[in-house]
Amino acid sequence: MPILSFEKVNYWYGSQQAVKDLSFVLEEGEFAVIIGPSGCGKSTTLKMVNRLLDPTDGTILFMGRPLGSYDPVELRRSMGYAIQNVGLFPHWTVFENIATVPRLLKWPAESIKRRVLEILELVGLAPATYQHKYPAELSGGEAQRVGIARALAADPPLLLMDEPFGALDPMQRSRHQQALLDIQGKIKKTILMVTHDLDEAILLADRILIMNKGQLVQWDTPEAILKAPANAFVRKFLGTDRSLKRLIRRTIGERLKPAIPLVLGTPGIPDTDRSWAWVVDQDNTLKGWMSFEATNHDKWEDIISPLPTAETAVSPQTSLKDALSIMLSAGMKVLPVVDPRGRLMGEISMDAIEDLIKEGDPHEG
Amino acid sequence: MKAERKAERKRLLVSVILLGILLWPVSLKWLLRLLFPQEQVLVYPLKSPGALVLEHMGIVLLTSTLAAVAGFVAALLAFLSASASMKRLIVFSGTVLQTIPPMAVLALLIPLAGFGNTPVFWALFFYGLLPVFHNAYGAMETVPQDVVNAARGIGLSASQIFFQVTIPLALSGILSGIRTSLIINIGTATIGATMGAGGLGRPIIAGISQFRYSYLVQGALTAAVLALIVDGLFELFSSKSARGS
Repeated sequence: MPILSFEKVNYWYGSQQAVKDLSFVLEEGEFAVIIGPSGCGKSTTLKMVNRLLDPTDGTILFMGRPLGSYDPVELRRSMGYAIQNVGLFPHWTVFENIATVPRLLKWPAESIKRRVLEILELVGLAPATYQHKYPAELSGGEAQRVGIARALAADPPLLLMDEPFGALDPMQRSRHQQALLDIQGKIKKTILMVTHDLDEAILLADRILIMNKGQLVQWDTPEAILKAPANAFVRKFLGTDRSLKRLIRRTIGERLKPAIPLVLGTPGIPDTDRSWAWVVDQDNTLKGWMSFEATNHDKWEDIISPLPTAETAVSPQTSLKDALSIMLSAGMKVLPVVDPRGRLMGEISMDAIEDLIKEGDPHEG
Repeated sequence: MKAERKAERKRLLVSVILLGILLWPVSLKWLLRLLFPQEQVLVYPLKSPGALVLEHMGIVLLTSTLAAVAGFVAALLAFLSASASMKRLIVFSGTVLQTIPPMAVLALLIPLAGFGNTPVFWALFFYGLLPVFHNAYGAMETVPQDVVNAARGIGLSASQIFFQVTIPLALSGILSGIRTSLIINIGTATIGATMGAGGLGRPIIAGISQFRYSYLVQGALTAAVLALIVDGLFELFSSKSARGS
């Protein structure tokens, strides 16, 4: 059964039509992202879902029942809601904030407690450290996680997110997007999110709904949209780097090649046709790289070159787009790939990424 | 945080001891003798120090309580009234009224209410009202919109938002208005004696007219110490209730 369906929905702000003949169906377990230029009607669309706004005409069904048949307050308690500036209650602790909806739903105290601790764990905040803190004591990213925990607390069948990462800086944003993907991997919620960040939509969405001037322009998987934009508007909206954007959803792990390193304390040069090699110690921990041309030194330390920056040792979960940008900024054509403890797993080369772009992408990410 | 609380307690204790000295005729006389070795009659004779304080605080507490209730209700009406122009009008008139000096209010009230306690009562009520209104209204208006939006979005009803979000978040502002109102009134109430009302204004007026500065100091010092005690009590209470916000 579809969780949510819009059937020819219109919304007028006075004489201005914000949403025009919008129809789409959101299936259970799907992560959908609505995107479009500002004023395209995406926020209005989201607000109609939890009845912060009611459509001028058309029908919206939630769990098979028309939205108008729900009491707005009851309805909102059955949908998670996370917004850009989080809006945590500053006078309540993290625990009390997350417990809000279960408390409103009159859950027994014992189940509320169990649920809050469980959900804190899920969003990656240690319950013992965080449950008694007040929002003022949290960083922006931690507050965002608590906001998401609050939205998920009553285990709603649908989670609404209105630009949830809009207020975070780019570094935090990508970390939290990844964290949301991890959470979604575990709980498989139906999520409807609004964003203006195209990369975010491509990374997170199972399906992207592109809107322009209140109308649905394209509603498809990120791969399909990038490969075949529906019209000139979508082509322009996606920008000229469409092939690069396809790399957002691809990880280094997919194109990881084994590397033949030089192991410290082991005699002999590795069997490679290159003039250099990664250097690892006996534990396979990456130490740097060395060129075979410089051999007139006595000590290993003198001939091992360190990596230009710590970021150039990448993890297999890093997107290929990030890998490419690290290569370009560090001036390296090959990056070492390491596990969380710094041990060499292999390498990723610019050639491998280029091949993937040329392939025209038959692969479903 | 803890050291601050301790310092507040200490200040409050000192003020209470001072008040004790000012209330007990023997110690009061001793204190005034120290300050005015030349004067013969030192303590204001027509009413005991304790009776003056009771009279004074009686009129202050009565007017300030009524002012706090009325000010809060007015702020609530302004906050809940939907139209922005109505809100602006209410706030603007509040600001204008506050600029009228207390003596002018008393003078204006005499033709209406005559001499004695009545005009003083109205003047103090009026003066106590404005800070309560201003602070309470400002505090409710400045509750972060994101918090209210989130509350609505996750399913709090309008009354739940009001009682569980708006009021708790505005509480410190509301309290600070009541505190300002009380302290202003403790001072302003001394002017009431010029209109024939009772309280600590009596020794002050008597002191001025009879050139007995010890009376004046008795009245002024007692009023000042009362203001400090009220302030200290609020400080203690608000630092206990303030948390997180």
